[in-house]
Amino acid sequence: MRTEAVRRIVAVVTTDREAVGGGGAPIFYCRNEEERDQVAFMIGRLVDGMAHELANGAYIIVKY
Amino acid sequence: MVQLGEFGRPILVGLVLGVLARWYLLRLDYRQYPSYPHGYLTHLAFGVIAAFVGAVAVPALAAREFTAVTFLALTAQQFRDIRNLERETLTRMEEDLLVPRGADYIEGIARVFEARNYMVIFVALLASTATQVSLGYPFLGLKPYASIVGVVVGAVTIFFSIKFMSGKSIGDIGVVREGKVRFDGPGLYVDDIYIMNVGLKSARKAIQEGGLGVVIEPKDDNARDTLGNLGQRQAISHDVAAVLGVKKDYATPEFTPLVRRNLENGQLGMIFVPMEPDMEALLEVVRRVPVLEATRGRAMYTRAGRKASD
Repeated sequence: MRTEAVRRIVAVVTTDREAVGGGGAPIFYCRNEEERDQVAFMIGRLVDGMAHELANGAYIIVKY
Repeated sequence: MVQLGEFGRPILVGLVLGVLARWYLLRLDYRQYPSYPHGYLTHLAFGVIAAFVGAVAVPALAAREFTAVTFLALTAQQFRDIRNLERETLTRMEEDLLVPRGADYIEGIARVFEARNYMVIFVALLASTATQVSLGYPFLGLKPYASIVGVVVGAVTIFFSIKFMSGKSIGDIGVVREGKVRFDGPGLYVDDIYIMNVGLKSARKAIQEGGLGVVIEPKDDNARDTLGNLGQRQAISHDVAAVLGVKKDYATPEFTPLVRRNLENGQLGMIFVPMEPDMEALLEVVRRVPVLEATRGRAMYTRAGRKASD
């Protein structure tokens, strides 16, 4: 955990189907923002990852 | 007085002073490492051996036992292993620390443990030499006070070695002050220094409420380079977490103390969510973090570096 170099995106959590597509990480589509926050929180805790918010409202869960 | 033989007194004085030096240095370590009794005993035992080797060197010469002196070299070899031993132990513990020390900090600690044994040898050597000389050259008029002379010389050596061996700390090379913690969307800032992107709203709330921000302004170009070193920053993170307690568990990377750099001027910003939210205590801990030998900036020691700095 010395640098903030991204090691791996383990999941993408978003409400917007347009914002994310394809890619190597599983994508979780949520119905609303509340659900998105909860899902992001859970995944973060389960995989020891950190949730980052992108400008388009998508969350990426990154494992450092 | 009990008969100790011809060389008993110098050896005894050297031994006692050497062990005292080791014992004092074990207590002096404010990080309380090793705080457990077995680690303590290990280092004290090494200290006794080191003190003995230092204490017998000159009496052995006086007794024309020249081979005995070569044992000095042999022991030095043994003490090299102390560094490996410490490094291995600490590295193994890293995985289980909420905020690891980092490789540079471990290297620094291991080096100190090794060096302190040499210091013990040195103290014992000087103390026993002083006693031996006082005894062996009666015209100096110190013969009746030989042991006292030895003790004084040993004590002075301990004093000076503590004075010169204690390196600088962050407070010496930088101005440590409070910084304002704020969010700009998901972006977390301490004053104007960007720290990280915090996605979860619950985490943002927790950091906004319980997080403390610290800014470290380097005093010169050497300090700027030292503070830029990632190992040095990790050492700061570790020390604040170890002393004030970190509000963090496994699988919550949001609350790891982070030290980030302002690229414009080399200032550091730190966010820390402590168990004990005490700003004064936090500033004090940061000021006392040792400057690691391996990370020390050297820009100002070069002509080009000095030129670049004006």
